[in-house]
Amino acid sequence: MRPLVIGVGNRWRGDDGVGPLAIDALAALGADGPDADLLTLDGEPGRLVAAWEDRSRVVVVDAIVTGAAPGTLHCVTSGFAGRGAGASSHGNGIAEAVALGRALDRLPEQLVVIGIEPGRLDHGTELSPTVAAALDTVVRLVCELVDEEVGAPCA
Amino acid sequence: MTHRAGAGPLATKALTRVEGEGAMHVEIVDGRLVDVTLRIYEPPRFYEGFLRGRGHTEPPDITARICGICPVAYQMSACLAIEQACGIEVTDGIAELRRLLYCGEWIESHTLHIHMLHAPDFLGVNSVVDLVALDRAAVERGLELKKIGNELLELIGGRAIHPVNVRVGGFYRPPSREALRAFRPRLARALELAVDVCEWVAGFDFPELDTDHELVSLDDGDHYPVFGDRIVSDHGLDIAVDEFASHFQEFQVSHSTAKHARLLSRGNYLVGPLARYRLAREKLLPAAAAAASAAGLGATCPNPFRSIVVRAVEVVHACEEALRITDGLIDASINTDPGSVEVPARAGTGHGATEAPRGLLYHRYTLDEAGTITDAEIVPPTSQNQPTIEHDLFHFVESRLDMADDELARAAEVTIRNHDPCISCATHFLDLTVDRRGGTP
Repeated sequence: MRPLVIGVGNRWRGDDGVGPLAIDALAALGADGPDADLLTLDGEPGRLVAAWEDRSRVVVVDAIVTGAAPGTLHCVTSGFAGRGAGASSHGNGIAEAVALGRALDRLPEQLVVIGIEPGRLDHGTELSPTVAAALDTVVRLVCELVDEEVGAPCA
Repeated sequence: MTHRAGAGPLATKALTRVEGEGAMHVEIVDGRLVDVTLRIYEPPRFYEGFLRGRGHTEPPDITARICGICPVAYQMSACLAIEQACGIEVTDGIAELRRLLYCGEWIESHTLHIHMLHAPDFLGVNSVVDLVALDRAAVERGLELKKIGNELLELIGGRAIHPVNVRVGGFYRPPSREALRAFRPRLARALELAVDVCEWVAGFDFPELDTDHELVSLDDGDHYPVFGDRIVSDHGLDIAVDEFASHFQEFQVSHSTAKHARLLSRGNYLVGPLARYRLAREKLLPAAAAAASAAGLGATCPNPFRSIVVRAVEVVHACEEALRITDGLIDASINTDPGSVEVPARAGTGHGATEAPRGLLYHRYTLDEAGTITDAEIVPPTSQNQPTIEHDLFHFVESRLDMADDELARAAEVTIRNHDPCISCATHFLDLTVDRRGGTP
């Protein structure tokens, strides 16, 4: 089964849009279909669990607040839930989704969360320059993760 | 934000099980409750500005992004307002298809709130994750029901988060009869699940709290309210949606970026499930009416803690309504050809209101002759309910001042969640602070 890439966020909330914008960039590279399934979600845990419950391999891209410098990338696996509540920009979205998925045995075999530290989360459709610069790296990282599964170039 | 004044510890707690961000502050002086304020950071102000200068066909797409949980509500209120400004009425078939789409949103949003946000409050657990250990089957049933609501949104709206099939004047492409026929068993399954959910929540233990707020909803004719041209209340209000601004006033408060709303010369009021139920209980479809009776609900439900039961009844109703419309579309007694009507631009002002899961959502747009939006106003249910939530909080907290701060904070959170405030625009949590000054009385 193709891997599923989920971009979480609100593209009208500044850097919170980095997840959906990563999905746009992957789609522009032709990643949708042959290499992976692409999906944009708002981070609501029930939707995340429903999206990944039948999948073996999932990559999630989201803005994650840890206090690090804007643009910093965090690449975490299913152990993410153990890091405590409150990291995601969507309340407790991904952490709770992982915990719920684990409790219900509805986690994908492999789950990787690529988090990007946001610089600004106010209203607007533009990414801050540092996060925009990190977007290319995010897309490359996702492509590498997808390639590991399908063994074909993403772009 | 934590306030420290005088002696004594302070409880600060992040409230995560509301949609989005906000902050609540409780101030206690000499053992007496002085103030309860709820701060919410609200998005419509930004969108109102953003909409000015845009074309008249754009609001459904733009305003759908205000809330990931209730995009259909924003789309529907926007469409109605623009169509009224342009002097256009859609066909009965399109109106029914809109109602069907709305059913998907009610099913998904209410089921989310019931299972993932509210039920843990009554079952002594901290979250839906802990609820799995207590009652795994209930969580799985909730997720299945929620998923069917999501599928309905995708079938009619093209997408669940920001439906792309909605346009001013109707739909880009109505669903095929084959697709509806294939989906019908899912709706029948949803109805079974919804009845079980209603029975489940009716068995919870609820704190006693009787409120007497003015209850406001749309009047949707023979239907339990989703659409409607008139706004009514249990205190005798009966006005056209166009008259909203003459009877309701939005006002700024210093502690919140969200505007509050009140009924002129009457004060606080409440929109949402409790209001709809009070004003239209007799319009519930049969299974929903039976579920309400079996749950012990009478003609009205004055206890906001029992709002979870009313939401469950509304999910049953939405499943039945969805089945009714789906059957009509399958047997062609409801005709959705054409899927949309043209809405040529003209200068004017239009008003639209629909019943979002959380209550009445009002939009107003003014267009110039080219259809460019020159003014926009959006009044979401949460800003209308905010003074009432604060009122409930004040009285609830007032009678429980002897509680420890963390206990009090938890009780206050539950009181907030009774009204399912939607503040999903925001980015962090609702921080709750209790500020105790002086001593005990």
